[in-house]
Amino acid sequence: MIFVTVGTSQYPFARLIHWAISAHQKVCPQEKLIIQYGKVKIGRSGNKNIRMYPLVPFSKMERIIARSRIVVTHCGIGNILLCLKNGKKAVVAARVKKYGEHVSDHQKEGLEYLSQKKVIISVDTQQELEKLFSRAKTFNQNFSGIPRTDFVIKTTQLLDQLFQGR
Amino acid sequence: MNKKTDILSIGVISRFRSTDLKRCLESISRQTVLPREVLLVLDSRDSLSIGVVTSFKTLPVKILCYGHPGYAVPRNKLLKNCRTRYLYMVDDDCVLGRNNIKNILNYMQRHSHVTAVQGSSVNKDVSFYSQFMQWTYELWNNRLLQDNGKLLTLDTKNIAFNLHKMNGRYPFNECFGSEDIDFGLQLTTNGQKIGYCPKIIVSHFEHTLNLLGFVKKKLRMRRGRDYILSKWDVHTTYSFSKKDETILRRNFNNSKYKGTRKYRIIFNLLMFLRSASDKLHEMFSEKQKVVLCVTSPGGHLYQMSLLREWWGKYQRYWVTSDSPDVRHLLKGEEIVPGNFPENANPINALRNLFLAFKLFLTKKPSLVVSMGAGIAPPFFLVAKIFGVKTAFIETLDFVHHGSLSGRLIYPLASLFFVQHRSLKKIYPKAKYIGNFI
Repeated sequence: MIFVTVGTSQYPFARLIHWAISAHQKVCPQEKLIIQYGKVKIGRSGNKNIRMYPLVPFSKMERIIARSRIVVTHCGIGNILLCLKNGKKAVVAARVKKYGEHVSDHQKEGLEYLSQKKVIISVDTQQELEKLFSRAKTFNQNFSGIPRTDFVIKTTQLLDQLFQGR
Repeated sequence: MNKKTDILSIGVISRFRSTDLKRCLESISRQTVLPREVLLVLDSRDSLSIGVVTSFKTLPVKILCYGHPGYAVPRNKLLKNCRTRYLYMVDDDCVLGRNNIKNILNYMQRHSHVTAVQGSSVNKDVSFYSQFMQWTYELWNNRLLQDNGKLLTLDTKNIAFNLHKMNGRYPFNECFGSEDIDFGLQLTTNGQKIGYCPKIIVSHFEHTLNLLGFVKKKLRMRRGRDYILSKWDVHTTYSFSKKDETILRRNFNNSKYKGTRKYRIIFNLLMFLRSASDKLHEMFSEKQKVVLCVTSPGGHLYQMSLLREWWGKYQRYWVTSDSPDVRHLLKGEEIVPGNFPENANPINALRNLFLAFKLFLTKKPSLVVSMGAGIAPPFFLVAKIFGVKTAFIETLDFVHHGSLSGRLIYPLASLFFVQHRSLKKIYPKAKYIGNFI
């Protein structure tokens, strides 16, 4: 099972969805493909194995991510953290301002940073996505403790200090 | 024949405790080094104590009669009327160790920069409740020591002052409640030093407390401390940690009460009471403060929800969109629906501004926290107008260029957090806190 999600943003990210559908048709048409396409509508594909939903409830999202072989997502921190929490290395593409996919190009920078940290796999073209699809295994990640406890403790301390007016 | 010093006198304050006073004076007369004089502050109506004092002919006792009982005034009176260099204050229900005065003089000679010396005390022949009280009191003292690295608490039942260092100022201020911490804080804030000498021991005969008296005293002490610490702007937590619990249990197991079943039950009850009262106190002190969490749905909200450890402590309202996703993430939280979509949408920004005014007037938050995106700027603007503290956390995916909302908020927020060091170029005053991954 492959899961493609582009978040709840009001902007479209049709590029990634088209890549996913065509890569799926080329490499593994028999496999189930679940697409969450967001608030902007997208035309239907004839394939029975492809399921499309505008939004997936948060409760189901976690279950789908845990079950699926590959998770493809836009560079939204919520999705990426959710994947890491479930031990999956997400395949991530950035939204670009040029195509009207977001208000700024910040996702590119985030993508660069995260792929340097090796917590995700970044894709930029359809060919890269095809290559990843053709690999049989899942991209697992043995990550413990998301969010990091020291980060939470530090933030908590600072906020408490601010609150108590120290 | 015992030696006698010319530079130290003892001050004792007593109120209607003649038998205790007798014991105390006897212990003073048994000292290896005798003081020059013993200053007594008595209640003028306390005829029994006066009788006790007059029967002591061996000690040079001087009575400073005093009409109205209090905490600070009699102590200041002692300091004022002391003609010698050092003044050693003891409570009337204490018995001094034989070498106390000798030890004080030794210590003072070696540490001439010290204004006051705090000695240690041992509880003797006390009820179980006062023993428990003593343990918790020690815990509290230790915590103050650890927090500030300075000795802030002074116990008036066993303390010696160097009057030459005081410069005629009397540290016992009546305006601030009546607690021992207060004196220590006053001295340290004036730049004076406090020493601690464990050799100076008094055995303390605490009056028997029952359960009701214990609870009463505990409440009074807590209220007083709260008041004083808030006045001096010192913040320590009362919460009852696991470490404290183990220390108390160890104390109990080392005490003579360990074997009896009755005291074991009482001990467990007291432990329960203590933790329960801590919880109640926390609830009433912190839950009154309201936090407004203003965050757009999606990844921003997901990151905010990971900080549950922090916002769980306070009463909070969430300003996000009222969608099923949000309701799943924030189960049981109070959600105020904002106006969405908010990115680069002036009409919704204006609507959010009105919503912000409405919320600030009705909910009266004392802190606004946001993790980002378009809903935050109107709220931060209104917070600035209302003079409410604000904190903004830039999300993880902005690495080199700040987000639009971040750049708008930066001049408004009282605290600005970034998750990447590279962002410090754009936000110089921001605090780097590391990130989630």
